[in-house]
Amino acid sequence: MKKLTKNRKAQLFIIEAFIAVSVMIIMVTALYEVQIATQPPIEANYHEEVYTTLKSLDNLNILDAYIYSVLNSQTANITYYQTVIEQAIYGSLPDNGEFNLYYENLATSLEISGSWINQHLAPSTEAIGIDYLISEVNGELIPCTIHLKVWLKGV
Amino acid sequence: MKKVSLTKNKRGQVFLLLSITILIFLIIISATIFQITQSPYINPAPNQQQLFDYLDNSLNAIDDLSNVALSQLSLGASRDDVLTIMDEGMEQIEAYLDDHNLPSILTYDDVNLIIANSSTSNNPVFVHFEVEVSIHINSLDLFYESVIHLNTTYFMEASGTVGNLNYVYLYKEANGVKTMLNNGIVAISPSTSVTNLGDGRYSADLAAGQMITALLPHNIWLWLEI
Repeated sequence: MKKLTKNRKAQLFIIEAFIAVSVMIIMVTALYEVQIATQPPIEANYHEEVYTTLKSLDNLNILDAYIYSVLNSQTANITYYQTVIEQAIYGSLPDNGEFNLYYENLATSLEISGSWINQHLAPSTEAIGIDYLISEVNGELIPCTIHLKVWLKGV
Repeated sequence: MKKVSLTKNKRGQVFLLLSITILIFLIIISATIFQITQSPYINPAPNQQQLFDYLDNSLNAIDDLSNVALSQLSLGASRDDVLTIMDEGMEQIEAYLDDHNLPSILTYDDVNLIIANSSTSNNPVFVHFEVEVSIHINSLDLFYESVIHLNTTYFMEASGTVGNLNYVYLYKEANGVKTMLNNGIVAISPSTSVTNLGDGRYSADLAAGQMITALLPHNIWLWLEI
């Protein structure tokens, strides 16, 4: 029996096999490097934008002034603070961004009646939820969670 | 044509061996690439930033508790009332964190809780609140431990009453940083016109016997009798 390495056809076969393995190694290495070099897809980080906006509104006492107006039925103030909150949140969203929110009283776990903004808008299935806690309303301990939903129209 | 079984043919055997080697090689490389794509550095847990936001939010809420205490103190609350506010408020903040998968323990030492106002509850020229709150969060996604020191004083001062251009000053001092407040509402009895100069000064024609009332954000009230 001739040895494989002394047979012409076998030699060609071995060379072919080595070429095949080398091509595979090069391909896999290329894939590996592309994977590392490729940036993850850039997604609009509107969750952070909206959270920062809520925090700013909180620091300006607008979130608690709004719910104070709602609790005390101060119609003019409700409209005013609602507009301020809407403008601020829409300002932090892309043009096709939408949101709605309501306040929940943490002590009773009940929705605060009349606290909805944009209740008529139905969130898309891709909507993300953000909760924000405020513990003080006009100098009184009234812990509330703001439940906010944000989504992009047509996405 | 001559039929040859692969397993009995030398070339076939080598071919099979090579195929198996390459297959194993491919499986190992695929597994490595899969592990890399699952790495937290390339693909971080989606809720990581949200957890930090909840933590940040709860720190803001703790700060709000001091505003509640200061407001209630300026309206005549007792030390026991303030302790109740702290207990209830911290319980709600803990519940909020727990609801967002951040099991937490918030504590404060009432020995280190200091409240003060200048004289009687009906006449606070300043209100002061100081407390240390410890936060301990131990969840699978986030471990956090810290002590927050809140030290806030609101106070009012008046300049002398010589001449007709006198000033009332409103201040906030938080953790040693003193600022003048330009968003208060100052009223003087008997009725005297007051002008907010926008820099923390409120100009008025002050005279002995007047009572100055200042309403500050968070419903904090200060009174000063001249």
